Amino acid sequence: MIEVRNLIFEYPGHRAIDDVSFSIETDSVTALVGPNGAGKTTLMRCLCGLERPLSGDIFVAGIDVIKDPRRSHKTIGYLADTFGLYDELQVRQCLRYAAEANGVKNQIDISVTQTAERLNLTDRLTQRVGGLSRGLRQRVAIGQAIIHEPRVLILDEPASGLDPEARHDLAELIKILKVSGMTSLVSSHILAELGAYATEMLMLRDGQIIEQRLLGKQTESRRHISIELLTANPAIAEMLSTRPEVHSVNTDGARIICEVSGGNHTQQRLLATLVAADAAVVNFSTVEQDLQRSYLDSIRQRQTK
Amino acid sequence: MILNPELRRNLLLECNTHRFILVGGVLTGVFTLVSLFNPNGSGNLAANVGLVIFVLTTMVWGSHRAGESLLDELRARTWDAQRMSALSPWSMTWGKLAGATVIPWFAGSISLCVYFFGRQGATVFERMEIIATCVAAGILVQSLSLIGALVGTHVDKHGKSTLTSWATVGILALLYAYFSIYYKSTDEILWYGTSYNHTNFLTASVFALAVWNSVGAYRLMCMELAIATKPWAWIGFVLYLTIYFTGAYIPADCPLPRAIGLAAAIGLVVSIGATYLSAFALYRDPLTFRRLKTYVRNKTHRELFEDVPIWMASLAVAALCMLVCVAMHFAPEYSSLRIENVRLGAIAIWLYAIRDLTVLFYFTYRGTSRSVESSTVILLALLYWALPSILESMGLQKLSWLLRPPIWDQPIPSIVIIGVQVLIFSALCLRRYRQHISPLRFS
Repeated sequence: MIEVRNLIFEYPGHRAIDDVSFSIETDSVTALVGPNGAGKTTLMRCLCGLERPLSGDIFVAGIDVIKDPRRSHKTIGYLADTFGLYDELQVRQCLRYAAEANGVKNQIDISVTQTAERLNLTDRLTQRVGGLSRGLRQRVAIGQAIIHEPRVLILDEPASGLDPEARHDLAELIKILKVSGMTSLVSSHILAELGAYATEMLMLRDGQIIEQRLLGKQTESRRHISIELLTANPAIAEMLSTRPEVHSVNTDGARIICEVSGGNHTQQRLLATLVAADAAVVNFSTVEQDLQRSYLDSIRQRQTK
Repeated sequence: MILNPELRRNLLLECNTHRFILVGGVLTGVFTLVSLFNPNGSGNLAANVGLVIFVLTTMVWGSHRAGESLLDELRARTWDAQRMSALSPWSMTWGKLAGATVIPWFAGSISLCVYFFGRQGATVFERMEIIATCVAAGILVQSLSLIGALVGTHVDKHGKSTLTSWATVGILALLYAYFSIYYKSTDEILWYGTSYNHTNFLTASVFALAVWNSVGAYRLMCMELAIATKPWAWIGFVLYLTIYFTGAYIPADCPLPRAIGLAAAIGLVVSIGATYLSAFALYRDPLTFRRLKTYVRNKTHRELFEDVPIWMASLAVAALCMLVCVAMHFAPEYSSLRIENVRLGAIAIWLYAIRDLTVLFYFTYRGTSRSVESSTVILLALLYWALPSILESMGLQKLSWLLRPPIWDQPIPSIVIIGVQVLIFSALCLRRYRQHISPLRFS
């Protein structure tokens, strides 16, 4: 759905995006994570055609964003980190304007009603936007971004400033949008929350993609295994890292987390190897890899390199 | 049913009964007072007050609202959403221009009605002509204000600049001075040797400028809405001004070579003026040259032409005019008109423009966007005026020529002197570019 090739974006004396290439599959929710100043917002603005990069290619739903940004806008919904609304207008007027401005031709009233229902705004339609709470304003802004049924939704820090309940509602909404076939790219600092709905992680640092990985369910080909030893034993971690099926090894005291390719048989062989090496294994299990852990693992691996 | 969503949204925000009643009430009060205090019972006073109120409402208040229609979007942070909308640049431009100024136009319409019915001693056609000129002037000023806001928006995204608003005020003052001095001085206007009634000519001029301003606002809106445009409109505007001003100098039965030479000389002045205006007012991307180099290297000529800053386009027009002026070196002198006899001096004038642009970019490459324009203006004032004047007052006439050579009297030495200045400033500019812009820090 999104394909980026060799993207370079520069500010004077500063390369914000440095030769970035990645692709995002349809119907996924990708968490764009990275420290402040990593280039997340710049990357998102480039994807939306709001900034023109120095070089590289961006395709969203097959449309060349750099060559034809206007056409790509019809397939993209974007919520900026510092979004704004027309405070003097009613919610219905805001949604109606967004529908018309985004080229919804027919059944505008139905689009407004459906979007309001989707966002639980039906009973707020006649209220002035200026009088709404932060969470409700966020919903109106998302409503404006999705009213034209874009195929890709790009949300920059959508959870910032929201209370826990509003954050939960946002997570539920993104899940619903995923089910309805919308591909989302979401940046946030609140990783635990992104983990609730993200299916993929894209990690950006110093303007470069340092990792892109699937999250959530363990796949048949790749899984994370937690090995708990009786006492910390660096030799075991060393031994594991030399095995061809093991892709990464992270130690945390007596606990070792490794990423392994292969299915149950590989897992069984790995356990047999540990037993043969006389490792004092007290626990051996697959772990669900959440976003926070993935992020920290990647950071740790990068630091050790 | 209003089809333009931008216009409808603006009308929703602007129109309410209270405002219409308030404006209508205030105007009724003003015109009632005028009729009460008018001892002769003549309607001309009310008509003149009507024109003054039109200027105050439509031109002053209306132009403020036209600019604010865009600045409000920036303040409310809704501009990115608008940039990503499917609205065409034309819908966006006239939706803002017409929607945000609806109340000022309402007040202006009442004032013009009072003028039309109150004016005595003028035919219906004459009154209609004045009204048409006023309406065109209103559109001109409002679109100029929107242009100012669009330029300011583009500049402010990359660093604050107050120059744009001052440039807008300056252009308005120049326009007012030009129209009031030039067209009041005579009843008949000679243009390309043909005589025109000055009011008719003024009306046509204001209309044409209003159209060009609307085109300018539209093209800037295209830029903001990520619609790639080539600099044809800017080149067209420069050529239009050249043709317009040349008409004032060309007599009837003018020989063709002279007409071409005169047009080239005026074209040189106009295009260099346009180059300065666009280079100073618009955002100067420090990475322009790197981007253009990348396009050339990647052979993406379409992107190259779309990304060329418009000051480069007008500078290229100036270069063509310069070549024609130089070719006129071999033609006889037709008149004593100074600009017409610039000839070889055209090279020096063009080189002056290059030097001044290198000075501007020298400050642009400083790494901070603050005071770039003011620093440039101060340095140029020193080079053009202060230092040569000091040297002349000290009796060092020849030395002052190193800064301000006599381009009309001695064009060839002047070309050499300014050429050396161009080399010096280009070297300084390149050095600063390599210091601040070229080396890349990674986040």
